Amino acid sequence: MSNFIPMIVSLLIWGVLWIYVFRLDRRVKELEKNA
Amino acid sequence: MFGKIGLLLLFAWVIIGAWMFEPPMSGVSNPEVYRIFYFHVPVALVTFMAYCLAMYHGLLYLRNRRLFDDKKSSTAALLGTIFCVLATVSGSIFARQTWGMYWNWDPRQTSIVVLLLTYLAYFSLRSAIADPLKKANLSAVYSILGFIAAVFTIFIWPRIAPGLHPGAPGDSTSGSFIVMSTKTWLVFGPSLLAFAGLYYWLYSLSLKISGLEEENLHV
Amino acid sequence: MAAEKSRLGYKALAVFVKDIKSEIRTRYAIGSIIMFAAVTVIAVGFATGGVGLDRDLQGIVLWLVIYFASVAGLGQSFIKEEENRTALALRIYARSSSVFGGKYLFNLMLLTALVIVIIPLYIVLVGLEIDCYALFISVVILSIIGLAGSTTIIAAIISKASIKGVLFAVLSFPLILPLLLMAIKGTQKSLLTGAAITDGLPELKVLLSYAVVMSVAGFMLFDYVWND
Repeated sequence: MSNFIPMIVSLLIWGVLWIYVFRLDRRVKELEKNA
Repeated sequence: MFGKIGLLLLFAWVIIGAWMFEPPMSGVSNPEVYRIFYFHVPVALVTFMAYCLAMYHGLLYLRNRRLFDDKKSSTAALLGTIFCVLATVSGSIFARQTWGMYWNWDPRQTSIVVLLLTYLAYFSLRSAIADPLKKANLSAVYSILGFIAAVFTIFIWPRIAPGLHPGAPGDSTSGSFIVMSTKTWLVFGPSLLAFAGLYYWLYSLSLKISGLEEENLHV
Repeated sequence: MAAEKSRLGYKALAVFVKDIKSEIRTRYAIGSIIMFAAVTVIAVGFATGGVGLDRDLQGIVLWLVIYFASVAGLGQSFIKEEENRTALALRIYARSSSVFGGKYLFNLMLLTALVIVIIPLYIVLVGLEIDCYALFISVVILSIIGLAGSTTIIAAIISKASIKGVLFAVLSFPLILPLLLMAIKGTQKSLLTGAAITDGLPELKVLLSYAVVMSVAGFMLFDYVWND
């Protein structure tokens, strides 16, 4: 089990960043709509 | 659009490669744990590069006095802080798996926290100043000073003080080594590119958002 | 050219002397530094009783005290100019490099006074046993030069900010940390029996480069901070 921890952590890092990117992307689209 | 797809593919490759190839470490008891190397090290490198980017725009601001450079500086620093936290967390999880404790005061482990403190100090300074011109001016100066100190803490200290982290004099892994073979580079290189690309994407989006938000204010 | 340079130096000395004179009148900075240092030494000595501190700890505690005393005393050097409204007069009187030079010398003097007071106290009250004086003294000298360099520029930065309180400690810690680490390590090495100055050569080299780089960087960046 403990051998899978690096995998989980790596995927978490990856996941956090991609979620952040998509939120920013959505914000850009929403702002461009308002402008 | 193609850049985003390319980035996604790159990440897919990295994740597959990190798991299919042999772990990048030989001669240790639990080599599997070292797979985190493909994720932890690029993130740590990107956070340092982010700091360099922030400092670079600080220098540009001092030279040209354009507030946009200060915006770039603070955006770079904000994203750099996020990456720094991720690097610290992934590092401490690696530490727990390899040496038994989340925190060891190993020089290299501590240096990433010092970088984090530098980022936080940068933002404390910014929040203590109201006038935008003064804020830009002083943050730029501080980012340069912070960079100098960071070079000492990140590059010089871990190499001369004994520690646990791979690469320090007298670490527990001497006798084994990170195998930087072509196979490791095949995964590590793209990983570095992928995280740097992701950072850059986040950076451009953030800049665009600040620009649009300011426009909306003026409307 | 030479005449201009000597005027720069002359003005720097003038700023330095002015600070000394006002310090003699108020004794604010030197007072807080020495009091802080003395109190901590006594506290440490009291807490450890007759047993004394572990050798490694002696080096660590010494430098922690020096660091916190600097935070207490050196952060004020520019703030008092702003508060007393003398900043403008200073700007008119001298170029930024002279002002930096003067303040730098003043901070260096404060630090020298600090170590001259605190180290004998440590030897007597906490039982500091130095085996290689050459190494110990070199570490101390290089460290206070480095401290003077970084604290002067940081003090200048915070004098322009509004919430001055803890800001100096927050800003200075990441910058001074590498110096502290090397100073502690070098001091610990000088306490070991049979130590020689060559043992601490890597630390001394780093301390020297830090002192030079920080002082020069502070000197060059000061202009941007001082002249808005």
